[in-house]
Amino acid sequence: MLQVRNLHIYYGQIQAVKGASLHVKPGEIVALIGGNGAGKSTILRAISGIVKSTSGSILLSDTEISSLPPERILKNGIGHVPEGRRLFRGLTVHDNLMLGAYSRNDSARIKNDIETMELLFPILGKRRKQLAGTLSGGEQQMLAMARTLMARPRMLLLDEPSMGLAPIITSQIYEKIGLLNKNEGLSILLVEQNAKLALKLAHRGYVIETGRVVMEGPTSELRESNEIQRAYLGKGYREVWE
Amino acid sequence: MLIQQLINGLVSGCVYALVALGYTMIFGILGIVNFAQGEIYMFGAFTAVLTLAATGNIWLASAAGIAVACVLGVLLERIAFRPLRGMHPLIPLISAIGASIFLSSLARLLFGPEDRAFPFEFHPSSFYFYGAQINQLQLAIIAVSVGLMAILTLFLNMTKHGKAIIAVAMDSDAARLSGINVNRAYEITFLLGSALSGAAGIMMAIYYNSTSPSMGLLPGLKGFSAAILGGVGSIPGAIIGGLVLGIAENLGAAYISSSFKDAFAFIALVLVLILLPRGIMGSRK
Ligand SMILES: Nc1ncnc2c1ncn2[C@@H]1O[C@H](COP(=O)(O)OP(=O)(O)OP(=O)(O)O)[C@@H](O)[C@H]1O
Ligand SMILES: [Mg+2]
Repeated sequence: MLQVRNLHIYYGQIQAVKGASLHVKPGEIVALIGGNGAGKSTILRAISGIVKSTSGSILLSDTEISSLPPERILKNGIGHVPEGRRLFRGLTVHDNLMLGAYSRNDSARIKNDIETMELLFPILGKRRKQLAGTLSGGEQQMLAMARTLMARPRMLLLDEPSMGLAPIITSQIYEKIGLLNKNEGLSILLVEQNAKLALKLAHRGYVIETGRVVMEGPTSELRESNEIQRAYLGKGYREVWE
Repeated sequence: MLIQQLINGLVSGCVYALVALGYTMIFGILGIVNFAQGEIYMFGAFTAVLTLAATGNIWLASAAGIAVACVLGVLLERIAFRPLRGMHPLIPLISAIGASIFLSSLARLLFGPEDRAFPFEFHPSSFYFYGAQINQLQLAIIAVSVGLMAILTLFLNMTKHGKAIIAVAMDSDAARLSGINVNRAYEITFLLGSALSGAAGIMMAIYYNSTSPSMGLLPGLKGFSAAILGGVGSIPGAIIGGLVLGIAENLGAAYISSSFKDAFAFIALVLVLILLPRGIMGSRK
């Protein structure tokens, strides 16, 4: 469904992505893991059109999307929940959801979808008139996801949904991500620093280091890899060797 | 006397507020100061005067004046600011000053350097209110200004496209990820700001019965000051800032010295900024 080939991305003189290739099949959850500054967020930004790549291609169902503006890419079915949530903090929860549906004109179904979101994340229904900036971190993450879902994407790019959240809230959010994938058939490209979580939920994974894919495969294999256990799963040499 | 000066101040204050709204909206969404705002005011006035001279229809003339102001605003965004997006903030500032000089020279070329009277004699009837003489023209200017501000506020807070503009001002990348076309939002912002400035110019051309290529200079500066006074980026701030400035300069002119009228506006600006560095409605975080 999504195919990224040999992507190169620069911020001014700095090259953040150096020839990354990856793909996501329909209905799949794919994890991108890697350390700080590896280029994970940059890859997601390029897919959603917020930054432009200097070379390489991004195909969505065999259509080249790398030259389209973000609003067109969203219309084509890719929704991006950015790192740090990036809510419209001075607007209400309801306004944020409505802005998520900005590209749509079917007001009856938008209303319906807001109800669906309030069922999926009941706290959003209770906080409808509250300013988004006053929500807790977990609530903000839920609102950020719901806002993106209001555009009815076929594919979701999730950038560090667990950032700064308590483990119990993180597992609630991961449960919802699993549900969206299973029940709605949503394809998901998931960026995480918390490799353990991501490799548990995802079907396949890519390891990114300094702008390159250094390892890829089914998560069951990645979880067993010694290098990944050492570098990302926080196990010591002793544990891995024994 | 006091009430008279308050009313006079309210009339000029409304005009400053309209110009300030353009400054504050454009700054809020793009982070740039559009110094050509005063020239848009002047072009609105000139277009209205010329259309009125040709057709004799004041409504048509006002509509034409506002339309030209809108077109200029949108062109300005396209030509003077859009190509510079993402560059150091000083660069669009210089571009704005350049656009302002270009437009006032163009006006001198097109309309000639001399003052023109409004081609239409208004004889507004006056009445007395606690000893203050108020004429219908003043009331009309206040009413139209308040109406325009109300429409703007309703548009921004109640409509989908208005909220989209607020969203772009808050976080343009998040807005793009929500499917909002930010270029369209910038265009609408310039259009609205320019329409308000154009309307202000037309009203002042009628009020003072004069139009000249430099007529936008002081109202532009005072509108800019009013925007800062109120807290740049704040819509209610621009309105309050405009009114404070208008009233302050009229009171200063009446009670201290009329030859320093223009200076009082800027003295008020400096005083407020010393007390409230972020402006009257600026966030105090
Ligand atoms: N706006 C920017 N301007 C300049 N350089 C940037 C910008 N954004 C990111 N970079 C650089 O690009 C590289 C990749 O950054 P990116 O945000 O994609 O990393 P990441 O893998 O998402 O890291 P993290 O896990 O910390 O979020 C880093 O070296 C970073 O400093
Ligand atoms: Mg990141």
